[in-house]
Amino acid sequence: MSFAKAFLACLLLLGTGSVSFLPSSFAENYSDSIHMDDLNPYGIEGEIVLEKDTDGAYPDPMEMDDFQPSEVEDEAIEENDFLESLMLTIDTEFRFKEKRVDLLTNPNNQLLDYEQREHTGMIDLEWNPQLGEFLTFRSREILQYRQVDQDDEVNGFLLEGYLQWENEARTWAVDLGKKKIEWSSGFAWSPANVLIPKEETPSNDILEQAGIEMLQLESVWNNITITALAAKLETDNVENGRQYAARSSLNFDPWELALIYHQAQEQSPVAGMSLNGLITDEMELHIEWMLTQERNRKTPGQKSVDQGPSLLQWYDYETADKEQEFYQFLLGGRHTFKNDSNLTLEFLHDSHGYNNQEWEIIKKGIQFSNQALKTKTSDPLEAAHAGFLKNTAEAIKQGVLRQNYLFLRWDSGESSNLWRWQQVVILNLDDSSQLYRSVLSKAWNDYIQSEAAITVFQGGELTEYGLSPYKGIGSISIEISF
Amino acid sequence: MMKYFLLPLILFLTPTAYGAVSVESLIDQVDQYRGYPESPFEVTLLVHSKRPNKPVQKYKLAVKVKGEKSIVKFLAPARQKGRAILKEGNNMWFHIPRTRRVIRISPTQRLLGEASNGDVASTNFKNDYTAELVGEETVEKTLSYKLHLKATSRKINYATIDLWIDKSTGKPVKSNHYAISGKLLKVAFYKAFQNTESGEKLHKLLLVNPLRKGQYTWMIYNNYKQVNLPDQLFRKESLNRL
Repeated sequence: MSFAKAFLACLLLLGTGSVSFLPSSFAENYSDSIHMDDLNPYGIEGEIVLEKDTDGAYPDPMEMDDFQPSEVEDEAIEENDFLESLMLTIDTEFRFKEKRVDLLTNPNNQLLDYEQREHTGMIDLEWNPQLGEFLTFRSREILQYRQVDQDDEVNGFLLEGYLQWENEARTWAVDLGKKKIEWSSGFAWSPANVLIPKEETPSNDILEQAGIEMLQLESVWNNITITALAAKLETDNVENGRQYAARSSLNFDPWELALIYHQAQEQSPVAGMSLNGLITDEMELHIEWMLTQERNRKTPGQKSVDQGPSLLQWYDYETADKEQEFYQFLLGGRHTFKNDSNLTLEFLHDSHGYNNQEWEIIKKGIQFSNQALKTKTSDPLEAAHAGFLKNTAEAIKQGVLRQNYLFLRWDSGESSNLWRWQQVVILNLDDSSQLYRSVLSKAWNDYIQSEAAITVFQGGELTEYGLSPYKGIGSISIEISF
Repeated sequence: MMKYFLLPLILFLTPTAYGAVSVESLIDQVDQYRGYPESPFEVTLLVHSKRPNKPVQKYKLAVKVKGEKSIVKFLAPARQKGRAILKEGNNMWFHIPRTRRVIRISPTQRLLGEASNGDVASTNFKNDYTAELVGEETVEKTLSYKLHLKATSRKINYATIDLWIDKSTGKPVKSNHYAISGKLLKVAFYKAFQNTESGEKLHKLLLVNPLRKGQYTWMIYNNYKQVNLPDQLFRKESLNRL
């Protein structure tokens, strides 16, 4: 856990308040400014510039030509209740992907076919109509056009759709239907989001924002909130199964402590806690820890047993994993600077991930299978080689392959010209491979915003990000909100 | 002999030399103009934020207030519609629609031009500050009492405030807002009031950045309504149910 200590030290360093992006003096000299000593009794930095005539210097928006009187009419809000419950956006995105040549999991580029260009157009509708005084229907629907290289398709999805009832005092709430649960405070990883399917790593796939059919009860007493739910479970092994989860949280200013429990059909229970709060006005801290006795993944070698003979079946992971406890630990914090930029740091230890011993075996397997398929000898184990490499590639796509990660995100905040820049780095601490992502966004007016992003994967050829099928991904998107 | 008798009398009377003015009643009056200190209420808020050579940024917000707790929901611009901020003491939470995510934010973080989250979400001086009457001055062509306010806790947005109150009406006229370092952060002008069913309320507030010429924000309050708002509405969990 030495990384955790180093991470805490970074947070504490930031928390000293010695870091500031403000220039030491940002006073501007204006010839017509007035100097008001009474405004500055404590010796402030900079020069006071305040107009003497506040009526003339700061025009009242209600007296401007473009002011809409309807904005301040009494009826304005009530008349628009229906419209207020609608949120509609149209989004179009182009993605360009640069494929890696000589990818070890894809010998001769013949085993797997990776797309290079993707275009999506999407209508995203969130509608939350009030059906009665205490009854609301909440929904989010997507109509998506997707073109990948030469193929295209149109699909409609109901991401969420549930009825919500609350009592008058809002001490009880019942939700019934398809709903997304967010129990985690994490940015890059979310151990406290225990429901299956779990999102291991952030992705652009809109379907990962889909909810799960459930019945949820929530009760609030003073500073305690208790949530319990029963939800549908669909996995490779279970069809129409059930999963149950409960969360109990205690608020004690400025902290929130939550205990979480999850039980899915035919799986070991998961239990854990989360804590988040403010260390200072500028610094947030969050910790999440989840424990279970069942590993949430198999090795690629083991997976290929299902598809034929495995090259690595002699390695008995099942036995090795029995009687062990596996946990995910997340330590994160965010510091907001005076110029409204903010820096987020997170450290993840996931003992479900492949350890060094396992990774060495997987690496040897990748090299061995790659050579076997490249030489194209009539190997009777060809199907096993292919199965192993495909499963390895699939595991890499899911993310959090290894055990220790560091996430860093700097967000410039929105400038006065409505530009925003975000820089993300994810570092795999076990193999030193890295993911870099830069996002530049701009709001052109109240309705239209655009975004350009570049993601680059770097690392040796047998590292997590070095085994990514792409060297980099670029994207451009435009979003129109109504 | 007489002067030895008068001196202590003068010294005794000096602190109340501004007449029988009670500082508490002045602050109570100001808080009454800024909302309903004794009961929960709703108000809509237009925020127009201006920076030199930049287009005006406009926001429309629905604000619900109960004591020290408040919820601010973004109605416009369209690209930010559905966002919401909960202020619960020093805890501030930010809800992003679609993702169902609720994240903790810093109370000092600016989301609306010159107005911090606290400016939008706080309407009450009495609970957050102790006040002292320090004199009379004419500001904005108005003869005013000058009060010096000190925050009751380090968690309050501004460490000190100088507040000028119209001597004849009790309405706030102007306030200077300082950081704990003594740095002047904002100057507020209480520009207009409107009649409501329960008396006059603040209608237009002008916030000026004293260090950046031409950088200011107008906050226009409308549709004040006293409503019944349950305590549990002001919980993090409620942000997904607004």
